[in-house]
Amino acid sequence: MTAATPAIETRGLSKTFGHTEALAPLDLVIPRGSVFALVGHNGAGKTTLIKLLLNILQPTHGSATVLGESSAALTGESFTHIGYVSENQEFPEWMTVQAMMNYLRPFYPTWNIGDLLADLDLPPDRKVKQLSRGMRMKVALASVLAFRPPLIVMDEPFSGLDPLVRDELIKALLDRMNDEYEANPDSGATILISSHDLAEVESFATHVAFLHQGKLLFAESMATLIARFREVTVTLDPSARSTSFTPPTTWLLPESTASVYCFIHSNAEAENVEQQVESLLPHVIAIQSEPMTLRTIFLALAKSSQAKDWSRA
Amino acid sequence: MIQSLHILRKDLRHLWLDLLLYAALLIASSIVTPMIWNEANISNTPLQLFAALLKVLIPLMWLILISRLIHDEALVGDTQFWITRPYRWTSLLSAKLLFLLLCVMLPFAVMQWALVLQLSANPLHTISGQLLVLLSTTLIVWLPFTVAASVTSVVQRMFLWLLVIVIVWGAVLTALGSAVGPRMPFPFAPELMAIVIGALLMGTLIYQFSSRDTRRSRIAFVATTVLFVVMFWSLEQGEIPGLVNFSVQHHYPLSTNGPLNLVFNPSAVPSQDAGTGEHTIGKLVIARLPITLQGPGPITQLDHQNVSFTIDAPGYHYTSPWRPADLLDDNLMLFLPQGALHAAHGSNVHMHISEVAQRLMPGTPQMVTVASEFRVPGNGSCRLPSRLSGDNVSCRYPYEIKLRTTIQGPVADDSCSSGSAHPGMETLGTRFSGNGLDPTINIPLRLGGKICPGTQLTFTDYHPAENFLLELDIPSISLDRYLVR
Repeated sequence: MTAATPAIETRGLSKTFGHTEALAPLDLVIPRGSVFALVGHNGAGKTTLIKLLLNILQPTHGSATVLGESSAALTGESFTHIGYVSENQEFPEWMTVQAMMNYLRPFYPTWNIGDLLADLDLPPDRKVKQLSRGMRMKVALASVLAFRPPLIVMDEPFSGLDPLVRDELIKALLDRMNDEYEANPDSGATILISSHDLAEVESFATHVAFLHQGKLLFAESMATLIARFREVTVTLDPSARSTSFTPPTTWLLPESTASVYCFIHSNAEAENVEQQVESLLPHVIAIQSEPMTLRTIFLALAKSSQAKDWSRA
Repeated sequence: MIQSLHILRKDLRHLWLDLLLYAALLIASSIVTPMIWNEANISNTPLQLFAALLKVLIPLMWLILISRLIHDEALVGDTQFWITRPYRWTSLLSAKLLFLLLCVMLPFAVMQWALVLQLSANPLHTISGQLLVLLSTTLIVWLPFTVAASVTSVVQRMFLWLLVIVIVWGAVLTALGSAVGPRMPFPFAPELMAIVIGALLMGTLIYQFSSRDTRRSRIAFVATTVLFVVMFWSLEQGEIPGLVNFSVQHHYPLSTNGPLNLVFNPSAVPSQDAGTGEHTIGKLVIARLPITLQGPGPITQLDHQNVSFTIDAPGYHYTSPWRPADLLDDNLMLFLPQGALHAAHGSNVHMHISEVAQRLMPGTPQMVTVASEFRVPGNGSCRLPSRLSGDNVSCRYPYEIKLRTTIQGPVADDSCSSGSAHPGMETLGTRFSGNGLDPTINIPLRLGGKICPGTQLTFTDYHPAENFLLELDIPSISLDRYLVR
């Protein structure tokens, strides 16, 4: 695998359970060295996608490569360079934290736990079954960071955690990214992280993909996304006669009153918003264009997708 | 291999308490079992109840131990910790099998060795029997338990699977075996079943470990159990006539000019009193025909006797399957279909009888003097009656009685002090102890009287000499005359 090879690439990857389509055919590229956030509601297909990528589930159609290897060909050996952390993972509950780390060590040629347990404030002599949910996630993360995998896949790792623990986990993760980048600037570690809480990934994700009801609505870098979406509010002259027009497809969720016209512009980076508005809406008094948070973009797209579904229905 | 040992070490650490409990049960069994040997004729003593409890607890311990072993790295589901770790399935499977070998099978074998030693028998002379017990227990218990554990995720589900399978086996075998009478088994039925069922169970286990395709593995497991029932029925019960006929043709050459002959004596009518026994089995009626075997001489014995016959009456033809049949002193016992009797309407029919058997030749007789405890040929150990064990000399053999053995000697009519004695004789057939926890076979000697201390008993074992097939044609016979009533 070269540095240019994406960490993960899917082609028409889909999964159906009975008559339910959990994941529609999906084309996705996750660049190496990125922190790729996979966002979507509960049941959007995030976990299914991750399980397909890790060969835990078999796809109905399509294929995927993970670190240059076909996902269907992933074996136990492959997990010496893929770390997986999930909220639903079952651990050997009877082991102590230290015993679990000792047990895992011989499986990984690159294992180096160092001060990770102390850094994450983990009690080595405590049994896993006696740990809180947050502590368990720390154990899971420690057991992954210890072997320094080039790809870390995390499925809802912060779900239900208190903010302090969440920050600790994110810090440990980012420290690991920085260490890896310093050691190898050409091919840093890649992190794929799924979440339904946008605020928790917005601060550190470099890329984001949005799954909604098994379909990918978009996948791009965070910078492009933030630049692309604008919440536009147009103040109109209420005394002027209103004219009917068809808004462009890049205008999402348009709403209007006699004096105000609001919409979400989904391509503000490429198009001149003011010129476009003025050409379509006469009698414009003022145009206000605000940047959006990931959360508001996410909600706008979800609503827009729902509205399209309803209109199709 | 290193990864296997690493996983094995982890399992040993995890299951040490279970293993300790298992060892305690086995030790208890090795102590209690010899104690109840002396209580063979008394039932429901506290010791016997405890021994009975052990017979339940040890298999239950196998179930729990195997379940916990396999479910520690459960193969069912997609949230297990180990499936996204660098496990090699070959290492995982070999670690689990190694655990079974070292921690389940070996302690069980050691417990049985301890029992054999307490019988004062030489364990080295029982290796074949011990291997047979281990092999059969593996195929009937440990391997099915392991496969059931591999297609389930918790012990309750595993137990449910096994329960359903046992109930289905029981129901099918009861239904099938209710109305057709005994049949000649295919000669290599146990070996063939062991190979096929063992290979299928092992194949299912390997498939599940390599692919974790639980749905297909469950189908394979169910199919194997169904096949077991079908094979058991077909092979053990002789339900595939082609196979049995094939074995008859290849293993029992027709004896035409040999020393053995079947002779029909129409003037003799054997006793037709069924006594307390049954005289019908389903739609079959038991008949005793005055047929004797001439020529073998008094020192020859027969084994594996089976008979097939045809009946021809006007408008009626019947060919019987091969069935076990004992050629007694003056008669041959057969199972006749009721349809043949209706077709004959009391008149004579034409009958053709084929009999196959194995001739046994005696070995060198060995003399044994009866004492309070004494060793007998065949690695057995006998003891005179004690206050608790009843009236007969009882003998115990470890694992199996390999050869048919005749025991002869003078026995007292009443008590040893009366001085009156008569010649006594008993024949022990070949036997296998089965898959119980106690590997010994207990046989009370009944030579037709009381065996007294100091008596010289003669043990003669019989070795297989030849297989043969005999034919007898009876142009006219009235079946009604010979029915057991």
